[in-house]
Amino acid sequence: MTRDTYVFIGLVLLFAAINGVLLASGTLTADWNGFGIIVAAGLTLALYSFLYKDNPLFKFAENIFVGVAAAYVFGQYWYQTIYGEIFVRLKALGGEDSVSGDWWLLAPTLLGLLMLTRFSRRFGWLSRLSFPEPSLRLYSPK
Amino acid sequence: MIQWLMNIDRRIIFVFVFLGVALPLLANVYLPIKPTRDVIAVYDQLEKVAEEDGVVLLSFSYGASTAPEMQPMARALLRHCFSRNIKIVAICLWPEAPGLAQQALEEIGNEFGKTYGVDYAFLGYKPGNFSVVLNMGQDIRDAFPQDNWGTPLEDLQLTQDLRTLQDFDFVFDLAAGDSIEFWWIPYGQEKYGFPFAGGCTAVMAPDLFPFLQSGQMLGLLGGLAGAAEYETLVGRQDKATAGMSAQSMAHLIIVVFIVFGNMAFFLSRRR
Repeated sequence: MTRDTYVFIGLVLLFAAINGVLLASGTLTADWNGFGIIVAAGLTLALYSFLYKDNPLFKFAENIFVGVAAAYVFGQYWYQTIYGEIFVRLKALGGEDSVSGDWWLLAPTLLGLLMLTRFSRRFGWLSRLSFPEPSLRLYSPK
Repeated sequence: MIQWLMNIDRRIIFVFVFLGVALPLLANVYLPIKPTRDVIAVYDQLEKVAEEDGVVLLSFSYGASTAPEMQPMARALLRHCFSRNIKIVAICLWPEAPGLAQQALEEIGNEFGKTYGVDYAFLGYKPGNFSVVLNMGQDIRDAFPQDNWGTPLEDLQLTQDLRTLQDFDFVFDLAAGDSIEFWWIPYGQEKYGFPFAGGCTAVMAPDLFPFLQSGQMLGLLGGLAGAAEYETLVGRQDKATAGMSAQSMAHLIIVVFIVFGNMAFFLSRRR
C-alpha cells in the first residue's frame, strides 16, 4: 500500500471515530438530522481533500455537488415557473378557468423553447431569435 | 532554517489555517465587535419601521457558496424584525436561495412564535433578475401571483393589500452577486423611490460605497463583519460573531506567514 492509501484510511477512521464519539455523547442525534450532518461534514472534508492532492474521493464529492445543484435549480425553475405559471395557465386556455390575457404567454414560451434548439446543429440558429441584439445581427446585411 | 522557511510545503500552511479556523469555533471564542455607521443606519431604519407597524420586503439573492457569510446576516435581520413585530415578505431572485430563505424564516419565525401568512410570507423564486424588480414596481401579483406553495397572494392576510414596491416601508436585498447595483437600485429604488439598503459579501462592499454616498442606499451590511455587527446591535451573538473569531485568527496566521516569508527572503539575499 502507498503512503496516500494509509493517509486516506487513517482519515476515514478518524472521521468515523469522531462521529462515533459525538453520537455516543449525544452531541449528534441518531436520526436523519444527525445522519445529514455527518454526510454534509464528510462531503465537505472530501472536497477539501483536494488541498492535499487530487483524489477519487474529491471527484466523487465534486460530482455529487454539481448534480445536486443542477437538479435543485431545475426543480426551482420547473415548479415555480415552467409548471406553476406556464403549464397550468396554458392548459387552462379555452376552458372555463381561462384568463383572456394568458394567450400572451404563448409568445415568451415559444421564445424560450427556441433557445433549446441550441442542442441541434441544424436548427441551432433559431435560438438566436430569442435575443434581440444577435437576432438583428442575424438579419443585417454583411 | 531560512531555506526551509523559503520552501515550506503549502500543506503545512493549510494545517495552520485549518486549526486557526476550527479552534476558535470549537472553543466559542468571541472577540469584541463595534458596530459601524452603515450597519447602525440599517438598524435604525428597521426601528423606524417597527414604530410605524410597517412591512419589510426581504430579497434573498445568494446561494450555498456564500451562505456562511450571508445566512448569519439574514438570521440577524429576521431576529430583529420578528422581535419588533415587523411583518416580512420574502422573495428569492437566485434559484439556489429558496432553501436557505425558507430555513431562516421558519427557524427564526418559530423562535418568536410567528404565524405564516400573518407575520411573514414567502413568495419563492422568480427568474428574470431586474425584470422581476421592474414588474414588482408595477404590480407585485404580476411577478408573484402566488406564494412558494401555490397560495394566491389574495388569500394571505399579510399580502392581500400589497400592490407595488412602494407599499413596503423598507426593502432589503441580501446579495452575493450584482443584484444591488444592477437590479434593485436602477430598476427599483431609483424608479419607485422606496427606502432601500442591502447586505453583501465582503469583497463586494467597496463597490457599493458610492451608493451609500449618493443616498440610494440607507445602509450596508458588508460580509461576515457586517453580520456580526448587526448581531451585536440585536444583542444576540450567533454564527457571525463566532465566525468573525475564526476569520480574524485565519487573517492573523496569514499575516504571520507573510511576515516570516518576507524576513526569510531578505535574510537569504544577504547571505
